[in-house]
Amino acid sequence: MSESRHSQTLSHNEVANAIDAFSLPSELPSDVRLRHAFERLILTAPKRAVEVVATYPDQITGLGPGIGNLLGRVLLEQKLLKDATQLFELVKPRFVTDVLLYTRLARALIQDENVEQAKQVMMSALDVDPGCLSAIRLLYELTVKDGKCEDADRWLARMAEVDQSYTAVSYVHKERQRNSAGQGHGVRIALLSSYVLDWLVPYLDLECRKAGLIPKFYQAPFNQYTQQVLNSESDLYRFKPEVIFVALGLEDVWPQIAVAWKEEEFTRAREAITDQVLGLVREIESRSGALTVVHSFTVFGQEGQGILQNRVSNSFSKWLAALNDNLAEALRTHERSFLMPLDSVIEWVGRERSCQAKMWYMAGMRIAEPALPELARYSIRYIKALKGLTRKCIVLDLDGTLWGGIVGEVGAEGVALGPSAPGIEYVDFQRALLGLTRRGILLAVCSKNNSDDAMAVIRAHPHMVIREEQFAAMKINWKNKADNIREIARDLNIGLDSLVFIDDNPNERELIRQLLPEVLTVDLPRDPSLYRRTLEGMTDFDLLALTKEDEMRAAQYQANAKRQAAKNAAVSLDEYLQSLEIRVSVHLASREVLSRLVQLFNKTNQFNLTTKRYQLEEVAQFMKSDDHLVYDLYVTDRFGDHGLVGTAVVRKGSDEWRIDSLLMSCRVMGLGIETAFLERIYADAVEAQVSRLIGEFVQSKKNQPVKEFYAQHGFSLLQDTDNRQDWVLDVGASPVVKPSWIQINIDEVGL
Amino acid sequence: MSVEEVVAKVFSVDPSEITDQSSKETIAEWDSMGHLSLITSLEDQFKVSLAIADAMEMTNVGQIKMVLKNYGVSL
Repeated sequence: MSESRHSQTLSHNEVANAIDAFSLPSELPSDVRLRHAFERLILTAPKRAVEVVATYPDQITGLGPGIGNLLGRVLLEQKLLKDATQLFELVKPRFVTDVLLYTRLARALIQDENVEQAKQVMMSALDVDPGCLSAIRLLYELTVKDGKCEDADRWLARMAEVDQSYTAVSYVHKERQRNSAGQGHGVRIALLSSYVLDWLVPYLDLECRKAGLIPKFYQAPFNQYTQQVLNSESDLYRFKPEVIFVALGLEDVWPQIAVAWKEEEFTRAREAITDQVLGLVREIESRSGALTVVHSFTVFGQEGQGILQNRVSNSFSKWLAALNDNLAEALRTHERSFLMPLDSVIEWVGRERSCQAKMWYMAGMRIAEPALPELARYSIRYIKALKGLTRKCIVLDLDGTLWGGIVGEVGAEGVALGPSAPGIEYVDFQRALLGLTRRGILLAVCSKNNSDDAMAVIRAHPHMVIREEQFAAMKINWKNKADNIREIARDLNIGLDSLVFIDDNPNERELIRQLLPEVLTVDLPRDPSLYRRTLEGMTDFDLLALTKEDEMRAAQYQANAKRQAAKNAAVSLDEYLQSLEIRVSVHLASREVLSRLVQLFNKTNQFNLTTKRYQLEEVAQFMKSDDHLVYDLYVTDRFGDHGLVGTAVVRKGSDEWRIDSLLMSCRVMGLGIETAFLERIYADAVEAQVSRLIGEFVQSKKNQPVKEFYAQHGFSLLQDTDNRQDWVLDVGASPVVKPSWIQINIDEVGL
Repeated sequence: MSVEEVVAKVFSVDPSEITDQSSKETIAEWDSMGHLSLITSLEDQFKVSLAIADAMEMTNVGQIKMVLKNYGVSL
């Protein structure tokens, strides 16, 4: 310490003593006295101050967090790291509350190569503030250094969870590209835009990884989307995209746009823009099999007509709506191209925050940072639907989830469910759930309750929206929920990875998360007003096409329940099967059922001999080709119509036919229907006079149930390499014969 | 929040490391996209709307302070 500063301190001391003498400390309130004394101690002997905290934790922490932060700062300034570490760990809840101090301490510890202690300090910082970004980031960096890639990736995921700002999300994106950690299927995404959309990439990356996909991105150079689309040899097509997002700004495609147009100018512009977009889409479709998602058009400014806009025919906003309607209408017949409702993203986030004129003028960015997370969430719906990551069934708790209160305690009349709060939140949530069944999503109940208590509400409560017949399965008992959920999956014949679990009880959620990680367990917020929004924010229920089967599904599962009851009542299995009155029809598939076939190819896991995930254009190609046969399979029985549940692809050779694919929905497994299906293929082979029928089998994680399929039908093993087998049947020598309980619809037989 | 704190928060660095000379050259995350984030955060924090020409001049922390002062922000 220098001489002058020393003398300065001395004179301060003298002054302080003089002040003390005046202030008669004993007459001050005791907590103020204590505070003064402790503050003095901090400034003169911080090490001792730490000891005092350890000896009198209650009294000192009672002084409030400010003083803890002061002590922490002084210790750090004097580089008393050991004492600082001791202090930061000393009392719970933490005495030092400024997370910045923790970060500084951890950095200093790292410089001293005391990494383990630094980690400890950062964990304490997360105790104070679970959203402390710098702590998460530092922990990530340390974990990466340790080479623990999976743990490191978890820290990155947490970082993106607590902070959706571009800097945080793009940091996560860059690190993940560098680490190339993580497993999952790849997906190739191209972005074509007339404006700057680079910012979306990190957000889209984040959503992909949440869905278990590892994305690769291609972005067309600024404003070169047209060249990229028109040139078959362009980088776009060389990239082989699976999904292409096309984002065009209205002023970019039609610079002469003016809100003051006459009616005929509006019409002309609308037609020209529609043609331009459709032209692009057709060019893409002719060169790529990718799913093309075109953003609908939106604008920054306002209507020039003001309050007259609904009285005049040439209103700009009406024109814009008509333009988007036109495009949607025109694309409806394009199986691989969609119009994405950009305005529903923008409206949700807020137009003022989403469309910031300055960002557009300054950086060519028409969609501003606050809208990017939501835009990415909307975009991922298309990707998940394409990749078959759609969930099929929502398993619901009852008390606290579908209604308020515990029915076992308050009785059916006492639960909160009705037109006013509390109660309306649950009614509205049920409405949203029921809406999902229109897309073919199933609902099931899993509740710890006396069945009678719960059923009284479900059957008779006047405001219950979802009734008994709308649940595909119900488990209301006192068994543990993991067992119940496994049973639901078995009853419905779907995989655990098709289930979503919604329960207000965090303990039940944790149990399912640990025991059944394949099930998607939803973090239901504490506040029931947020239930509906939580459900609607989920991106797991989208389909690229709604088939008749999707709409019928709920009814089919209820019929299944009746079938199950009949099975329990039947005397013998044979009698039961006879009683089902199963009728099967098989045809060569036509184009009308194309989207259902593609859905089957991409969703069927268990009864799938080769699990080839054919996409639309491939199946369409097979249908056109003379060398292929594509079959479809329809099933009905006494209890209902199963619809189109199976398909097969046969490659025709001059002397042998090869069954390239054969698959069937697991809902109709175990009834001998597959044999009836194969009988038809066999019959066609006989008629075509080929001598051999080859059956392919490719083992997957999930198709164990059909491993012996060809052996069971008289085929013998021809070749066995890795997970791939060829089975052969001499046509004519050993016919395939369907079981007696299955009827074939006569008019359908024959080529 | 001070200018330093806003800059530190946007680029997730320790505010004590920020000086008037901190710039694109000294902070890794301060790229062109980071710059737009920074402008938005400064506008939110200090309740101003910055003309594009001014926003582009804010190449280091000292410049940021100077521009903000021209907008009547007292720092």
